[in-house]
Amino acid sequence: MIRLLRVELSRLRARRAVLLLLATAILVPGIIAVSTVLSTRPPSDAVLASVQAQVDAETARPRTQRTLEKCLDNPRRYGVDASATDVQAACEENVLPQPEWFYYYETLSLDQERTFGSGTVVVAVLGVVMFLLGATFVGHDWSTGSMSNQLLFQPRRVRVWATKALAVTLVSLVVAAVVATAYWLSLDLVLHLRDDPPRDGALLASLQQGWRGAAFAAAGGLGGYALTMLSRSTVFSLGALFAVSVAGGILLGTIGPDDRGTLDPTINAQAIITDGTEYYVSVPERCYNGETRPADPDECDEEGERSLEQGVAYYGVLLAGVGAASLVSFRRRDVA
Amino acid sequence: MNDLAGNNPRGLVIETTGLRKEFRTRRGLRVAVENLDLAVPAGGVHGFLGPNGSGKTTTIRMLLGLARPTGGRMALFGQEVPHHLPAVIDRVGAVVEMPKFSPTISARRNLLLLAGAIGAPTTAVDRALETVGLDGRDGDRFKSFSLGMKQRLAIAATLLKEPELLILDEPTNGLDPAGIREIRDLIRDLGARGVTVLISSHILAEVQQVCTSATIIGNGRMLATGAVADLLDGGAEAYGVTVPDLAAAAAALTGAGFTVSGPVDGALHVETGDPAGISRVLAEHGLWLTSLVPLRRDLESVFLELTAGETLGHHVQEGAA
Repeated sequence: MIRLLRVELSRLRARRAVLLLLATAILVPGIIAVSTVLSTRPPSDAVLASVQAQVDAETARPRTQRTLEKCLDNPRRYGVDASATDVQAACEENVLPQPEWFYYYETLSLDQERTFGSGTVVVAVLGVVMFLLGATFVGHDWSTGSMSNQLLFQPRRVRVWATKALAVTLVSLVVAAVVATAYWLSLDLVLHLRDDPPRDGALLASLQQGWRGAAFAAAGGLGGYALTMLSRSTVFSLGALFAVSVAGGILLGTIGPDDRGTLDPTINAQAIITDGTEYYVSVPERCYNGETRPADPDECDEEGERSLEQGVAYYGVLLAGVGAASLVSFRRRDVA
Repeated sequence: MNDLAGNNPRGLVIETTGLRKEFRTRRGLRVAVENLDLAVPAGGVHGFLGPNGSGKTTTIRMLLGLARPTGGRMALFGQEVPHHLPAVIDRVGAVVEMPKFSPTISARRNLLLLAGAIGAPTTAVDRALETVGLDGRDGDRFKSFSLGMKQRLAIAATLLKEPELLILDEPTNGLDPAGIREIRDLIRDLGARGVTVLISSHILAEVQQVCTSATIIGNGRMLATGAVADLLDGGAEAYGVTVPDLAAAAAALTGAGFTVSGPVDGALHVETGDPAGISRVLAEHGLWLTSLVPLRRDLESVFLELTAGETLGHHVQEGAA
């Protein structure tokens, strides 16, 4: 088994398409990291000086000063509490120009990136790339006919299937874990270089999300492999990926149940990556009509929840089903 | 098949009994191999002949575990396959149909991957490449090879195992005359070294030159089997007769009771074991022989006689098989 695994790893390394996909798995998250860092970089001293000059100029304008005076005379009109201890300061804050009016930038935050930002995008990229890696690796064996040649040297089909699956899963897992770890560590390093270290526990939470994402990507690689072993066609697997991820979501949204969280692949993927997720649930029209509200208040709850365990169960059942069908098919069907 | 102790008392390298393979198609079941009994003894080069679609490749694929038989039994070295195939596969080298390798990697790397699967050393790869004359091109990508070079690489792959049985499906496909000769010499050499070789081929002259025995199948059934010399001995003895007036000669010989056909290529074909009788009858009619040539049967004529009217794999109704 170890000998075969070594051969399959060599075979993976020998494929140009696989190397290109691995390069993509490193480059795209790298570009996302650089883009995130650049879009959150603090303004330079020159920019700050220029902004301050604009603030000073605007503050000095007679009209601005008149507005400030009006605020002091009638604070409530300008949203300032007249009983405040320092009405002058409150009016200045509300009325006088502030630097962020002229220059706005987002600050880098691990929590923000993890919850709403680039963390999920990186995992999505890794998942798709590893799916393609698994599919193209074995699709090549089928399209060139070299699978039959391999079986002339190792006729134990279950062993061949398992070894190839292990090779794909291992490579996907290791590469995705390394990339995800490097991604979060690089953001953490940037925060430290900016003298703005993340809150305690933010890095660990981000790394854990990265590792969950790596496991999800590895499962994607295994799924791509199993599906292609079943269909014996990379094109079919790509079609299935498109059908499930895009067309499936649209179909569920159009004709699926109101609470689509149990079936939607994107929501379940999000639940795995972010350790549980919330999603919008379509509620009956009568929930908006005060006179005929339904007796069960849960029926009008627009917020659904999907836990990590539920997401894992969803994809676990899917993967186990495809894997079992793939293995049985490979074991029994003739090889051309 | 093997006895209870797992021995191979008949010394057969390949044995099939009642082998059957059906394919499900839109038109119903297609029988590719039907009740095929094949016996290949150890040693020598055995030809496996049949028209297109007669079931040769399907039989080979079943023997090698690539296709699942619908019925019957098969054994390699006395071990039932596919159940015991893993136990004997290291003794079998095979090229099935076209050579199949990864096109974008080098010939050498392709072989190294296969060698790795059976734990063969790198030197085995070097030796196999040298044997088939590819040692100077081993760094080239498989896709840059000509069909002949691909065939040689496929044969090199079979040699990685140092096989006792070599199964070659159309091994000279796409080879130039020099390449065909090289492969023929290689097969002869392997046969002389004790390797049993089974060749499936359409080039009957090649088979006749290298094979010691042959099996001819048609429509998935065995039509004849035995030593090549025995297969050629069957049938009537015949002579090619050339005279200036072929029509008069045909009439004279037919009148004397000879079976005459032709003319073919300017000569009458006369079936007889008495060439002197031909000469005498013609002389009695004032016809003087230009030439009298014994017509030797070759494997091609035997093959064509046996497979006349054979068509591609036949269909049966569902449930009738």
